[in-house]
Amino acid sequence: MAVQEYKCPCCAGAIEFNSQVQKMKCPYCDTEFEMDALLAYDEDLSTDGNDQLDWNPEASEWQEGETDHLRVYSCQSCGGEIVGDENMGATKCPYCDNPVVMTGQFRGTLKPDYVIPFKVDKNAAVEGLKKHLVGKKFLPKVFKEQNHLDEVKGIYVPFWLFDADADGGVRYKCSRSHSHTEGNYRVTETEYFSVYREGKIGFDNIPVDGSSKMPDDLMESVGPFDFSGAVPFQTAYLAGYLADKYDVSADNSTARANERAKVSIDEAFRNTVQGYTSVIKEGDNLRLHNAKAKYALYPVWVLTTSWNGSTYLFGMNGQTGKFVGNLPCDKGLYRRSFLIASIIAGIAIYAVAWLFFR
Amino acid sequence: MKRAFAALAASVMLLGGAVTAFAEEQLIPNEYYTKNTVPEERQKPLLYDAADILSDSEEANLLTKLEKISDEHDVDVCILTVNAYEGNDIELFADDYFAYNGMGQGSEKDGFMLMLSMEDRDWAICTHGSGIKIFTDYGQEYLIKQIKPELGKNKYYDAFDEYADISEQFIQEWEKGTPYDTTHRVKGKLPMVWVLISIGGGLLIGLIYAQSIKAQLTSVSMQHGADDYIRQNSFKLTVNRDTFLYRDVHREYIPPAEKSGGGGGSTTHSHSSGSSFGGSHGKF
Repeated sequence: MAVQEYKCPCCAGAIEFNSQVQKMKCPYCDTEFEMDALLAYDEDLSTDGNDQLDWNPEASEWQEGETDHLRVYSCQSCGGEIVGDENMGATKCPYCDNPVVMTGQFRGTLKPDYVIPFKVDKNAAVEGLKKHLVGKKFLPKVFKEQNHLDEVKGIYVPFWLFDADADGGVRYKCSRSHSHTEGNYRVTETEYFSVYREGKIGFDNIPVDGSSKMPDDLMESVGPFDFSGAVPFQTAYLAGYLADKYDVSADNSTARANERAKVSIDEAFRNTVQGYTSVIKEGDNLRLHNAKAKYALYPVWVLTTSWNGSTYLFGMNGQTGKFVGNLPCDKGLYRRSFLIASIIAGIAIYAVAWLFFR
Repeated sequence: MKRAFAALAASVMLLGGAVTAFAEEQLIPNEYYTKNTVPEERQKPLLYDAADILSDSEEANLLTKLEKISDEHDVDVCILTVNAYEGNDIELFADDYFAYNGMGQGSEKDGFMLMLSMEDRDWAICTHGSGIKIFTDYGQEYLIKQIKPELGKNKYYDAFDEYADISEQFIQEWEKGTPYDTTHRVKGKLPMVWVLISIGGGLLIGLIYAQSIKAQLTSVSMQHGADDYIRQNSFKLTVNRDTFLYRDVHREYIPPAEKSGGGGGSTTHSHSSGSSFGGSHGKF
């Protein structure tokens, strides 16, 4: 299988993408390279390396079926064996730590259309975690000191991007009521309306997580990504990071994109119905047209920490720096706050009643 | 009955023994009633238990309490219990008793009286002089509301004791220049249901508070909608139709506001003795 290393033309060190300068940079001699120059280089490289496909690592030490989901690569720097799953697209050599890209994973029909390069670096991700723990009242006090940062990974996550156009109409039953006094009678008048809205709305690049390994909720929560920051895909961007190819097909992702679009369509139409005391949706006839899905790699920092025997997973948007991750709750503190707040509120209610309702 | 007369006789003796034995047997002294004149001196004790519903010690206690309040504030706080009364207007009877027994203090005969008639379980309140200002219609309604539960359970001593306490409270408020009325209501006891409301409401607010702080810890969830990805200005309405269907008219009768909610004060009526009385009556 093809493995690509980007060698520095100056010192032959392995170069990687640097998120701060948004260029390839050699960590050894600090030489920087334009991404455009590498695009041509990248294409040249795609022509060679196929000879390595003949190399068959599946020797007798693997049981039958055991390697079905594994791929074995050979590091071009040290010759060490890199074992990864079938979707791995970029990693670091476990022996020499040089960044390697499995170019075969992103060739031909598997070539992503776009990539959003990393804008924030690893230090920002670690800082992000520290900030994430500030100001959370029910976070166990010892969590900050005791949680152990296991892993910080910069991952290019495969996303399917859906453009959708919707048109159709929504029907509502609305009412408007007002009341006045006539002599000894309170007269309440309620007017009922049938409200119909028809129109169209478009969506661009609704992302759906194309990797089954990444938790869908974490990936949706680190969004949104700004698509204007996306560039045509080049494998060179992956150097120095981890990457996976998609393993959830576009067809299987459409439903989720449409589900999200539908909620927004409903809200958009609903917001145009104003001036009523009650609005009940009675029916709709919406048509959703999906364009062909685009395939993109989005940058996500994934941090894993462990505390008290549990693992906590955090995600940071590699483009915007948005940090998310669920944290543990101090149950004792929760109960105490609940009790104190209840007692204060109870006394306050009683005091107000004592003043005004005797 | 005999005991009551004995006690009465004793107290009358203390007053000076000027009244004859003949007068003691009549609830309303004939000599004043027939002449429509009000005696200068009080002819009866503040507590006159003709129906004999109190024990001797209870009677003594109450009388001491009533006399103390009356002396301190120069307003007679009186109680009368009878088995039955003459005529069919209990308020008129109470007024006659109050007037022709010379109840009340000072030239205006300031005072008020609670009367119970045991045969038909009637109550009446009569107010005179400054008593009219002390117990307005609102005040009388309040007083009866407070003591009615005890009267219903035949706990007469407790009811009269509470009557004395409430009377003192009302007199003090009147002395301050702000008598209780519809515009200045008595702060009574808070209904028990407020304890439950406070506990329930407190728990609910506590839960909302704790949950809102706990929500800080959760930042990962499936997202709703795709508002971030709506193509700019792509939302266009082509049909925007609001069609009126029908109108529903609901009329609800509101009973006119009660008179106590209005100006307050006392309703008074004139009496054969020449002065005016305030009062009210009912069943217990």
